[in-house]
Amino acid sequence: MGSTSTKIKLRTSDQKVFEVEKAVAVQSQTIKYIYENGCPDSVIHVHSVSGDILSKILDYCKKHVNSAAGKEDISPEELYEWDANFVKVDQNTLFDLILAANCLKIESLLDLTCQTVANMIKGKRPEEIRTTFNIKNDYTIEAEEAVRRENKWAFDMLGGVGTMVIEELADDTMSKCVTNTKSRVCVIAANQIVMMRSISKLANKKSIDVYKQPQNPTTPRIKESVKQRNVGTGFIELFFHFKCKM
Amino acid sequence: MQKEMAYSFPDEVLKHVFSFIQSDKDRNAVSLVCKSWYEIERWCRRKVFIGNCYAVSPRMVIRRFPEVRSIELKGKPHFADFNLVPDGWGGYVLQWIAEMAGAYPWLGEIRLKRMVVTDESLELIAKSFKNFKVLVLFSCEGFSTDGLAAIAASCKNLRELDLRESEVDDLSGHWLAQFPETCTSLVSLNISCLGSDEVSFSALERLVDRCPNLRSLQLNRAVTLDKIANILRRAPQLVDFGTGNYAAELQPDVFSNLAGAFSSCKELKSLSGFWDVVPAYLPALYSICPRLTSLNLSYATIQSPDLIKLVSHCPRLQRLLFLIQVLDYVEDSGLEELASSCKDLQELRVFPSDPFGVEPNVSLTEQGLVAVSLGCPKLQSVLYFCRRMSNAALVTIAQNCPNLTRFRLCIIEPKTPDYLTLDPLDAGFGAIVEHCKDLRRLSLSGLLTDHVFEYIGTYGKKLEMLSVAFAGDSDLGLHHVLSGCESLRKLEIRDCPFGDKALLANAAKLETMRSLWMSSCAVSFGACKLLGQKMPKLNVEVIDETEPPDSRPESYPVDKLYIYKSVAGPRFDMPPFVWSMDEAVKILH
Repeated sequence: MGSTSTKIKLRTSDQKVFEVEKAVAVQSQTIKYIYENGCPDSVIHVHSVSGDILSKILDYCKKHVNSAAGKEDISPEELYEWDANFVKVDQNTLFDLILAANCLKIESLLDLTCQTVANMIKGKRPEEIRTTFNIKNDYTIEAEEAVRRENKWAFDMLGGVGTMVIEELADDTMSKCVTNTKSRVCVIAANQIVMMRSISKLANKKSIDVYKQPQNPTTPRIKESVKQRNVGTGFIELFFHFKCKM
Repeated sequence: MQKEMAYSFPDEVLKHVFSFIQSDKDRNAVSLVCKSWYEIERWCRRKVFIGNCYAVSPRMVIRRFPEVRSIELKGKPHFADFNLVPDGWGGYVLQWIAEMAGAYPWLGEIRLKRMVVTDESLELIAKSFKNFKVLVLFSCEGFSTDGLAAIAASCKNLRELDLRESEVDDLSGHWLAQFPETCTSLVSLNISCLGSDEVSFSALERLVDRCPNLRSLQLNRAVTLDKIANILRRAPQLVDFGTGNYAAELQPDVFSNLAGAFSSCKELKSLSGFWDVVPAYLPALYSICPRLTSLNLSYATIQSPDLIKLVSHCPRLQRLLFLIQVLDYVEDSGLEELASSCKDLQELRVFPSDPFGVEPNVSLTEQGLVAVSLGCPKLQSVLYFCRRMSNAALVTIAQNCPNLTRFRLCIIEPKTPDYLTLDPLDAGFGAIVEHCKDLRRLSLSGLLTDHVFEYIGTYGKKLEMLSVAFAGDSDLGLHHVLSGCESLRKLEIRDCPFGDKALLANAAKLETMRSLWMSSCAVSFGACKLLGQKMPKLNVEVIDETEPPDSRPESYPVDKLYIYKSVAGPRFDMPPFVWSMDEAVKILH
């Protein structure tokens, strides 16, 4: 058993070198693979990632490793909040983070960043999406009209009020949705990054059942019970416990 | 400088982004952004909703979305519920199943509403989809317990089998025994529509026993009260329960057994069933009443005093009750009690116990609804049958409940005026559309002139579905609705003096709606033909069971008319009494 912190060296596309704890670096499946199948002392090249981006990514990995190992006293909810702030960056940086998370194979970061981009798409019209992401419309007028017609004529749902599915929105938008919802049931998507505290408070006030979709989409929805617990310092934290026995 | 996203992201990343986008509306928007997004999106769309099964063909759906896992289809027009759509009209699901069997081996969920489902279809489902999990047949018909047996036997991981309000041919009660002993995955089972003697109770008990995740169970009338306790004790985790028959001679041991069984169900929040209810057994429910959010007593001939007792003996029931459906035996007094106890009520449905009787058999009037509107400010959805109404009452209701999204009022006798003033009810319904700015669904009744449609056209900007019967004076009424209601998607009309002018003047509007139904109105055959010519992308179908429409003068009104937009063109499964106004089809017919 070696020293408690084995270090791995990483060199970025702009020739910056980072020395990181192994536990942090192997959050990336790519780095893990290279490390385990190569020479443990050599420097790993992460060609497609710049120093700035890697620095941020390592912050992310470190935070998550420390919280999982209990090295940092941070509640799941506080971690959610930290993640939400982590992705409050300009669009270029966000895209760089996604590409880096994809090539470094860091699943939770990829989920986080993709969810953030998905948020930027939801509720928008096609023109608005194009503007947001600077995408050129390469449809011909006829082709676009044909797709539009098929969408509206075949695959269109009425307003409907049944179950409102909250699929990731920014926290304040989510709060607004829950406040305004006329539904009795809210289903929160699996990779939801939310301020559970504010949502559950609102949900309780409105007697809405809050269901959180599990990671595995084939299992049925699991009701999460909201528990309140007094922590020694005197403030109340909200925890979500899964009641599923499957 | 902003990066161009479409070019810098690999497909798998975009796919991952899209996996967080579930709603049809958002997915449709994504598909229109650019051609590459269209391609990526269509390969990863897993859930498809088709509001009119004739608006698109199975082939087109499969071609566009090759990897669908869940599909929902609706067939017959809504007025089929009132026997206005003749048998054999259509809505057959077999062709869909047959094509999907080849294209979607991983299809896991099928939800159908108002469709004709045969045993052949069910057997095909059972055979073709190895990962089949959810079958919901809402208001469907055409199948028997043989088909159900095939589903039970083959679908190893079945999670949901919901047959609500369907018509099933009873051939054998033993289909439940076809679930293999290894099937432990059921989460939801609704067999409430099966006629008597169709259920093998021991098979049901064993099934419930081995499915620890069963959350929702609706039994049918064959299951007697004494058996309920056995079922509940085997499934204390139930959230939603529909009793069978709730009648028996009052026996203390049966009662205490039942009460004990109910109290062991700590998660129970929703109740229904209660056929032939014996009021003496209602107190067995008291232990769970504080948790109830939904109570459906629409099959229970429960009298008002018993309802009041039920509600008042459960001091906390009021906070949680969201939906209640009762027969109008409940009377005004019962509704007044409800209004004072159940402050969180969101949905109320009051069905008529004797709709065909001439004299009112119970004291249920507009006062009951007014009381509920006053006492329950969260009221959003109303379906109310009654025999009299006044403009004043409607105005009061509108002012008390501005959050209404669905308002369906059925005054049983057509063309009934305001009972106080003998005026039409235009002003009352006008107040409803004016005050309830989020109103999405409206059903009218009573004496109504063109004025009510003027109000609806002016204020009903979010109205999506409108049902009209025995109302209006002239085409102007229809014109107001078609030209004013921007969000209108479904319009169904019977017995109104609406004719050609408004329809032809607003032909383009029909391409923005899902469907239009008109029966016993004044639309001529000539106008239907013209509409078919002018609007080739609409399917204009004339229904006449007595004789072909072209055997009469063109000015003669058609019996029934159903118009809907479709990207699939005219359908090929029309019965002899349905005529398409599509030029090409007409020649062949």
